[in-house]
Amino acid sequence: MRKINKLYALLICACLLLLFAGGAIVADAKTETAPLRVPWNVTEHKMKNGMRALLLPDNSAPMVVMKVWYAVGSRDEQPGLTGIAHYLEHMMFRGTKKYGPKVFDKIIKKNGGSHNAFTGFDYTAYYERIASDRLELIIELEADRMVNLQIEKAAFDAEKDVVHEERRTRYDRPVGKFWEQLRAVAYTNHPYKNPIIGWPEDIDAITIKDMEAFYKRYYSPENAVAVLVGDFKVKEAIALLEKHFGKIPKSPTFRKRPALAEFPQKSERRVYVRADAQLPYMAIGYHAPNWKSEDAPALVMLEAILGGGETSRLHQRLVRKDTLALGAGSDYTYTSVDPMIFYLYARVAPGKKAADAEKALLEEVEKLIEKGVGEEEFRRALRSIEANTVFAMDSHYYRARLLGTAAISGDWRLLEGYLPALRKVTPADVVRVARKYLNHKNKTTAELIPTKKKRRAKAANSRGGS
Amino acid sequence: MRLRRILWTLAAAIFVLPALASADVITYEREELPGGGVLLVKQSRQLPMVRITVSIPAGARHEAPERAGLANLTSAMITRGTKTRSASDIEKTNDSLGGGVGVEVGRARAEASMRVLTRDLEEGLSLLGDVLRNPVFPAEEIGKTKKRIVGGMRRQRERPGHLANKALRKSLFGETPYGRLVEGTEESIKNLGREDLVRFHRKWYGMKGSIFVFVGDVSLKRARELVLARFKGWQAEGGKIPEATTPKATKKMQVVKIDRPLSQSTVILGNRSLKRTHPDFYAARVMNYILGGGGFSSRIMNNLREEKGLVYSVYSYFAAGRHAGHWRLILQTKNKTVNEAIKESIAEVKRIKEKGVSDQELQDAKDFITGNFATRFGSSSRIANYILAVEILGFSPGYADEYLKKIRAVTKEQILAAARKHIKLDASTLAVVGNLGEAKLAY
Repeated sequence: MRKINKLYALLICACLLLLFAGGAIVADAKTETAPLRVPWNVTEHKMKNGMRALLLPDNSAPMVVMKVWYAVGSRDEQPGLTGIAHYLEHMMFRGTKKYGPKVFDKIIKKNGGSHNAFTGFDYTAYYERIASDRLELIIELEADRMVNLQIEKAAFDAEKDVVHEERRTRYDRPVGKFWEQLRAVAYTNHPYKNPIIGWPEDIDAITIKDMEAFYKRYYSPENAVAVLVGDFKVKEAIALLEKHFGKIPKSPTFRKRPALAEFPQKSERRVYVRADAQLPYMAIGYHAPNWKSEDAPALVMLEAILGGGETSRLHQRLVRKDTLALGAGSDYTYTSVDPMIFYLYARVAPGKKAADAEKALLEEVEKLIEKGVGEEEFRRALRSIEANTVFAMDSHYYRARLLGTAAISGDWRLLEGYLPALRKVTPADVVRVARKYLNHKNKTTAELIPTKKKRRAKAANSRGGS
Repeated sequence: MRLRRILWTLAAAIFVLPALASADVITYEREELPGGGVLLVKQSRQLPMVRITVSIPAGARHEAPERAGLANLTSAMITRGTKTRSASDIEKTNDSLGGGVGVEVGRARAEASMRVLTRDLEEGLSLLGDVLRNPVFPAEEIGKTKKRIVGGMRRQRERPGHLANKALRKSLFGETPYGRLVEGTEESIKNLGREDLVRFHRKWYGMKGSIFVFVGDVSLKRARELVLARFKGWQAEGGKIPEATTPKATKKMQVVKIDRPLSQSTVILGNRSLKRTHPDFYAARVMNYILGGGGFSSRIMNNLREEKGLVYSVYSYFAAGRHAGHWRLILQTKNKTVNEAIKESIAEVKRIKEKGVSDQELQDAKDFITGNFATRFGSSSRIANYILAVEILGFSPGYADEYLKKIRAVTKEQILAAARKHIKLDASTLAVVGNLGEAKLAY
């Protein structure tokens, strides 16, 4: 629930924020204190052309979910071509040399499957959910469009309009605009500053030639990871993957994504967003490292203690005690290619001031730094994360997603190491990372200011219709 | 046609459509409980967790119209204190359990649900039993909760889809619970007092008609023990459900226009339609898949998005419930193309009502709906929602077979009849939210 607002802004084509989980779980039922172990029963396979596959068998239902991940997202776009990764994702449904337009969807639906795709800052992913006896069908179709995409002018133009409509749906709203602006200001040079869907002027400027070059460069087997979760035999599934993906040659124009680093922030930033909103919104963002840093596990705990649940500090202070906000929390991204932003946010309540919400958010951070974190609240937060780590595995789709994001971010084994890493954190570590990262110099504040408009709904009987 | 040939060769050469039986897909145990409740258990040992849902006949239709929002406020207050636990105690337990009890309310029923690790099952049930049976509704908490609900309603009004939906419901269902928001209105919420909540809870929260669903690492026997231990003697007073008169169907399309400074308009077109238990439901389901429910395989999506690039999202569905139903179509498009998008949508509706569908379309739709069924149970929440819906609708645990059989039996003639009978443009409402100056609506 608490994540919803944030997700609303970032979901775009859905970049996973943080929640993180494990595999078939061994719980020691005897004592409550015995730690849950979360081993992932994953087989990793690498093909000669560099493509990787992660296979997680699960025969609880006669189905399979396959997700093909490409290590390319809005992060990898050149200036002036923002939105091209996502626009290409749309074009991937417009037909290949072999199958022509509209065939992909028909074949999959005919076989009872469903499919879609999403683009994030770091990745583009395509997935199918289908009865397990049709695994080869989806493997063949995904392999085909990895290399045979055909971009035709009429479809390219129509799809550009579709993307603009999608952009309007997501960002022509106060809260959408708010998060977009906050990111645009919080980053100076890193492409995470751009919305995944792109800036409208850039979307307009993208040509077929740009897209073909982008496709050829990044949709190379060595840049892809296929993740399979479901009812299959590992050996057989690998054979099918080899048969269809294994023969695809590496792209000659492929280059590994370069390392990118946001310049260190020198001073505090602030952005005001005016929009036709009903209520104000406050958010504060701090640059914070991701899983690659030793501080990351403590930041996960900090996120939980500040804004994780009903007993979290921000919720207790802003929602319960001061009733300043309808919702308040924090958000941190552990799994990403480059470091992202640790957010605090408050959906300001009617009649309350954004400034008071901002003050309360900051006071809670200061209080935590000055007075520390109690053992009981620390244990409760950890227990909650443990339970949610198990709950997150309760879906084929979600497990495939966790594996994919972890693999793209660096290593799927991150999932196995997650809970053990959190258990090494101490309350003192939490205070230390709060002091280190949640400070004024590192801060970007955004405030949504509602513009007042007088209005009335008009209701009228129509002349026509039939 | 080239496309179709490839499709057939592929489907035929590699794969043979399976004969799906529900026994392969979803089975569960059902048992009646003393006091008129029902227990449904789907055991699975994949993960050391259990999802529990308690569905109670205490939805918005149980409240009087002048008390609109009472069912919702009552359910929201369930976790704000019991005879032995303060709101803060409940929050602590909730967080320790990894989320704990969440309560939602709809027009027909309230639903309390939680996920717990197997090791926390006892603690979870103890909390669930306590909040459902012994809430005390502290006055101070009521005030705060009301403010949150009202604030949430304001925030909702930023969403054009919400505004259009609200307008459509009001037009189709008038002053019935199906015509208003479950939250009520700011005015009606203001007038609700503690006594109202106490009375509503006493009257409707009880074993009779309640459904307990357990999915996950738990046996029927264990689930029964847990429920009986915590819910024995749980009784509601019961009473008469307030009557509500649905407005008369209109003879021509009603139009509701809402002006907002947006670059994109949201359009909802809908009419009152069949309930989920209507025998035509299966034909209507298949028909709608072809019309607007089948994503890229639907006619409207194909026309508006693939051919014309007018929309990102357009779809239609039958919201067919136990007590009421309607059909609706939803789209968003830039203000300037609203007229065209509406015109094309209506043209597709008329086409299916006049000419029906082809053999190929019918077969494709059936293949998807039946073939897709097996893939719908990939998580415990999906399983729980399904078996709960089957029970609420009064079907038996073997319903999946019946469903698939009925889908397979749908004919072209039935589709044509369903389109003509259950989508009614004359009796429909068109709600548009957007920049009306730019849209220059022709409707």
